[in-house]
Amino acid sequence: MGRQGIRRKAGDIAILRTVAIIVATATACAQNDFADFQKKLKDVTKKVTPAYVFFENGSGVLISEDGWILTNHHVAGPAGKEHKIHITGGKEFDAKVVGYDPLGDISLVKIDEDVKGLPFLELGDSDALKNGDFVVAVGNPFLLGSESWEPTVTFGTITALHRYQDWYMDAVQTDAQINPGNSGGPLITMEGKVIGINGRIAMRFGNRVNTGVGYAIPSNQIRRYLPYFKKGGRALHGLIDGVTVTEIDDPRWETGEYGDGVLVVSTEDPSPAFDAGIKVGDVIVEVDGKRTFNLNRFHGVLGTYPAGETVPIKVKRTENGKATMKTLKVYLGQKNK
Amino acid sequence: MKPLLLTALLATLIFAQDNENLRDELSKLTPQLLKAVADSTVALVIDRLSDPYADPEGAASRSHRYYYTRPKGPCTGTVVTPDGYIATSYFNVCGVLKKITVILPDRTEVEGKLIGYDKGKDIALVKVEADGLKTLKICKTSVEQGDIAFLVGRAPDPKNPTICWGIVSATKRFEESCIQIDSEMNYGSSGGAVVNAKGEFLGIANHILPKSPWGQSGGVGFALKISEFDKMFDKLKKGSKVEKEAGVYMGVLTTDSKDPAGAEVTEVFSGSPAEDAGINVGDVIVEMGGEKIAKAAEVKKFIAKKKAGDTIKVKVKRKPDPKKDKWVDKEFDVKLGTSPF
Repeated sequence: MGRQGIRRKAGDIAILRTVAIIVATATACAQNDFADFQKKLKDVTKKVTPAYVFFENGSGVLISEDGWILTNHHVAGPAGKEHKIHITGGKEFDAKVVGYDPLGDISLVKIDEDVKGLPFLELGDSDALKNGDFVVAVGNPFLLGSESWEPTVTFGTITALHRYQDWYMDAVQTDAQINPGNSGGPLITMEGKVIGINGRIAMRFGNRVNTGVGYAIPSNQIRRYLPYFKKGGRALHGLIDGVTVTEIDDPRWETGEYGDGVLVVSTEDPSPAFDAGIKVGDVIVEVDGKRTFNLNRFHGVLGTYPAGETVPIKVKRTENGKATMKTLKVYLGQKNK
Repeated sequence: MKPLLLTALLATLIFAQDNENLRDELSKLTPQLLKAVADSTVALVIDRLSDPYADPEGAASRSHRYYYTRPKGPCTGTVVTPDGYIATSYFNVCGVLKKITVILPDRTEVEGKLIGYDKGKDIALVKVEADGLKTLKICKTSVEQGDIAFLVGRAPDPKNPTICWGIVSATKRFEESCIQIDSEMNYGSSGGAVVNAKGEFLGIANHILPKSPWGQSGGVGFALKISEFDKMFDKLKKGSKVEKEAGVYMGVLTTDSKDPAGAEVTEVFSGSPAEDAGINVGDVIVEMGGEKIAKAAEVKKFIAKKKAGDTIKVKVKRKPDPKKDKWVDKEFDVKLGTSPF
C-alpha cells in the first residue's frame, strides 16, 4: 500500500471516531434536554422572584439595588403619588412615583429610604426577541400572593412582536398567562433579563381573565425613557413635528427593495421636520434603523421614543425621475415656533 | 482539519433547535405519564336533584352565561386507596345528590357513596366497592416554583386521560394548603391529579368554581397538596362534612381618589357581585349603605361588617365620556356573595 495509503486510512479512522463521539454526545444531550429545561426554568425562577415588587393593586420590578422600580402607570399613577410596597417575602417600604408616561403606561418609582443591596433585574434587548422564545412572567394575579408575599410565576412564549394595540404602540405579545394583578410586572427571558412590563390582555366577552394573549411594553422603549423619568414628572412622546404623512402601496416591498413607507404630503416652515430637510414627496422608510412600512408601524416606532431625542431617518426621494435614499437627522418633539 | 469542520457542522445542526427538542421530550414523556395516571383517574357521573351553581346570579342576562354554567357530563376523581377511596373536589359533588356512578379505568361502572367533604378546602371523598385499584406514587420531595407539573382530567377513553402541562406558579395558596399551577384548568379538571414529570402525585385540582374570578383556562389553577389531603383523610373517612362560612365578597379593588373624594375602582373581578350589579372600572365609590366613603380602606371596612346575601346600595360617580370633565351620579344595588378565595 505504501506510506501514503496508511496515512489516508488513519485519517478516515479519525473522522469516523469524531463522528461517533458527536453522535454519542448528541444522543446523551437529547436525553437530558428536559432535565436541562427544568433546571433552567427553576434557576431563572429563583433568580427573578426576589426582585418582584407587590403594589397595592398590581406588580412592579426592582431595576437597581438602591430601589428604582418599574411598573405600569395605571398601577402606580403620576409623579408624587405615594405607595406602600412589599417585596417577595414581605419586607415593606414606602415609595414614590418619580417619572411617568401615561401614554406608554410606565411609571418609575423610587423607594423613599436609603437602601442598598436590594435584589434587582437588568433590562434586556427587546429588539433581539424572536417568536417562540421562552419567557416567564412574575405577577400577582387576583392578588393571590398578597398574604403570603409569594408572587405568581407563569411560563410561556413570545407569540408576536411590534403589536400596536389600543395605545400600546410597540407591544410584545405573549401567551405566558397574565391576569388582573399582573399589571406592572416583568416579562423575563430565560437568562433573567426583563424584556417587557406586562400591562394589558385581550379579553373575551368582557371577562377579565387571560385568554392566551397578553401585551407587554418593550424594554428598549423603557430604556429610552428612563433618563427622562429619572429627571421627574411626565415624559412626553416623540413625534416628527411639522409633517403630514399618509400610506402608500408599493409592490417592491415584497421583494425587499425599499418601497413601502409613509408618504410626506405636506411640511410646515419652520418646524423640526423642515429643519431636518424633509421634503414633500419623500417616502419615510426607516426611523432609527426600523422599517416604517405603514402608518401603524411609523407611529408605533415613534411612540417608543421620548420627546427630546434626535434620530436618523431614511427617506426615498425622487428627483428628475431618479430615486435615491437620503439619511436625515430629525429632532423628535415640538419646538417653540 | 476535516474532523474539526465536521464537528462544527454537526454541533450546529444538533444544538440549534432548543425549543423543538423540548417539544420532542414532552412527546416522549407523555406515554410514560399516561401509564402512570390513567389507572388512577376515574370518571364520576353525578345525578343531582339540586345544584347550588345552577343559575349563577345575573349570569342569565349576559352573553357569556355559559362561561359560568356547570357543563353536563362526567367529572373527574382520583383513586387514593386500592380498596376504592376516591378524592375529588367538593364542587363536583355539591348539591342534593340522587346517585354517584363511578366509571373505573377498566370501564366497569360501580355505585359511589359520598363519605365526607370540606367545602372551604373544596375537597370530597367518595367510596366504591373495589379491590386492587392502582394508586399514584406520592411525591416525597418538596414542590417548588418553576417545577413542571401535569394536570390530569378524565376522558371518554380511560386509557388516554387529558393531560395539560404547565409550571408550579406558587406553593403557598389558600393558607398554604394549595399549590398554584398555570396549566389551563377547567371544571372538567376539578378533582383530577396534578403530577410531576415522574408521574408522582403532587395534589388534587380544586378551587375552580363558577364564581372564581380566575375563570376557566385563565392560567390560574390550584391543587390541594397531597400532604394536606393526608392530614384530612382520616376525618373525611369518618364522615366529616364541613361547610365553612366563607368570607363576604363584593369583588372590587380600589385606590384612594382625591377628586372626586372616594374610592376609585381599579378592578372588577369576573363573575363578582359588583360586576353583576353593573359597577365599572373607573367608577369612584362615594357612598355605601348610606355611609360616606372617602378612602379605599373604608370600602373593605364596610364590607367586612356585612354578610353574604346582604344587599347594599352603592353610590358612585362615573365619567360617561372620558374626554368630558363632567361626573355623573349612579346608584347600584349590590347583593354581596361568598368569597371564592
